[in-house]
Amino acid sequence: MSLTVNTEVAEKVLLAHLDGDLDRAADEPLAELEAQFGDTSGVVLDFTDTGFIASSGLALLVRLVRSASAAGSAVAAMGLDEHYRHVFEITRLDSVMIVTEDKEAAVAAVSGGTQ
Amino acid sequence: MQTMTTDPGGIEGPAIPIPVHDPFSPLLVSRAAPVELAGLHLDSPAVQALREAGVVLVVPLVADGRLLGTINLGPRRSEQEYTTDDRNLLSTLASQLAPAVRLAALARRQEEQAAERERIDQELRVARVIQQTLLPRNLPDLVGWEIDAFYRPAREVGGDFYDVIPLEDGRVVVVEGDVTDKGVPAALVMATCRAALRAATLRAEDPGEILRLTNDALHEDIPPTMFVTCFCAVVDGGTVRFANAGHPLPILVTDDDSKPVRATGMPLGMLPGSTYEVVDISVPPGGVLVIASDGVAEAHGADGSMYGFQRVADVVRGAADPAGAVVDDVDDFAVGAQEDDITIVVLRRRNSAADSASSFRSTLLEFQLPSVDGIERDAMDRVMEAATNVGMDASRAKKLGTAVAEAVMNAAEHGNGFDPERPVDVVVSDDGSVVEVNVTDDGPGASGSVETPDIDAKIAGEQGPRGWGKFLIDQLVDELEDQIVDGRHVLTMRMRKEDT
Repeated sequence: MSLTVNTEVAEKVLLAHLDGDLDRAADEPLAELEAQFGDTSGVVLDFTDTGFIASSGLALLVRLVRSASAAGSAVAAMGLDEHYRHVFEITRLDSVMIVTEDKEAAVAAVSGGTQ
Repeated sequence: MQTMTTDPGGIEGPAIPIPVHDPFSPLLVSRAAPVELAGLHLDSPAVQALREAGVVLVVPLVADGRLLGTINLGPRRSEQEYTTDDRNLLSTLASQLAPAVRLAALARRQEEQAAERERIDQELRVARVIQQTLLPRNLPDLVGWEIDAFYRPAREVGGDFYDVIPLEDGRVVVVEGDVTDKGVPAALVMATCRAALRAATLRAEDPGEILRLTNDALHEDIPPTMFVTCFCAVVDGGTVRFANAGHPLPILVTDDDSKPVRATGMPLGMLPGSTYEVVDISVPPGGVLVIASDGVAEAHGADGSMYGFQRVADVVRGAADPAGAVVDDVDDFAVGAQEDDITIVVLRRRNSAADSASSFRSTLLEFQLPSVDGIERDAMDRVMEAATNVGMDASRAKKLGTAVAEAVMNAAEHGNGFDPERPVDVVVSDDGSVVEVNVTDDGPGASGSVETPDIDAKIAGEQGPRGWGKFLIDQLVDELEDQIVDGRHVLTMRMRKEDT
């Protein structure tokens, strides 16, 4: 299922709900998301409704973190299931984005930007 | 009856039948001599027909008190009447001709009967071949179990049968049946019953329900004098769930014990609306469940005794080829021609310790994907389902599925260059404790150890963002192997079903 990204902004934190599969085809929707990074202090990626994350999707997340970093924003992840938490651990993606339990923790984690 | 009519010109005339019920027929038999039609006062359609054809003298050909034919003569050419000498000559001729005609008729009938027998034999041979195609050609590999079967009809075709029907979820239905009667009628009912059972397994997975549906279907379709005894089981893990429609009781044989196991139910096709008791039996590792048709237990020995089920149990225990061992033993025991169809199905639960040592591995799933973007999701879902169905825990199945997704993408992209004409082959197999997935492509494969991607270098832009596939696979599965087999690149991933 192709990826749909729904966003909302609250107190300069961009909350992006990722609905669908994160694979090669997610390139464009994620690029559109990255284009919104300018005015934000932080980005929260909500994986609650993300089905499948391929390694090509992980590569897109690396690009996203680089974009966010360039815009001075930190990135947090929420809603990852146990399997993908494990995948984030073994790829060490969890060292470049903050993996949290819920929305509040995620928003709090990125409110201060990357400093 | 043959008649020969000779007209005055000496040319063969029309054949005029003399039916057995015509009064002329017994008259000819009783006279057994030439009969002149001129002075005959008989209300006979045959005589009238003969007269109209110009016949004046009828010479009967009689043998064993039966009228085989007649020689019909028209008037003499000299226009004189037939003399006593003429008649004597014709009588002598007829008495010598009759046995020869009789012999010729017999020989012809025998030839016809032989041809008919040959035709029937030929049809039976074809029927036997057709019937054998209704039996499973290969018994499926079943995780944790060995299935063995033997079938031998008493005649060219038989009414016994067995079948192994896979269910969608990987379990199998095992059936053995016996139609009343033998030969062609039984074979026809057998084919009907097999089809009804197969249809029932599409609607039900419970053995009692499968037999209930089959019974109702069969009751409509077979003669009221015939019925079918049938054992039906679903094999699931270490448990055999079964129902029995009047078939001989299956025997559970373990190292130190053997006992018949009972579930009640009427034979199929007897009464509409019959229901069938369902019984679960736990078969321990190494245990055997034997289902033998009554042709086995009721085989007669030289002293008139029957083979019996206890002897089946004794022979099966410890036999490497249980069905074959029972058949050999029955053949040694029984005298004379085989009385009834013989069918044996053996379900042996594998010894788990022996299993891991054996190379037994059953294929769960085989499929091909075109080398295009987006195939990974389908591959992942199918492999996860197959692995879960054979008992892999959900989290390990997801890891294996994710690894397979990466593997098929690598195969499509790097192995086959995204050429849709070059397929990616996926084979999933199981040896009881480990699920193995082979993903095959046309590429040269990768050699050496798997590189660990550096996330910091990637974030810093010093390393490309991609290159995680093989690393992920290596991290997610228990064992990873890269090899070239018959010129194709095969990536083998192995995953234990449970955490150790």
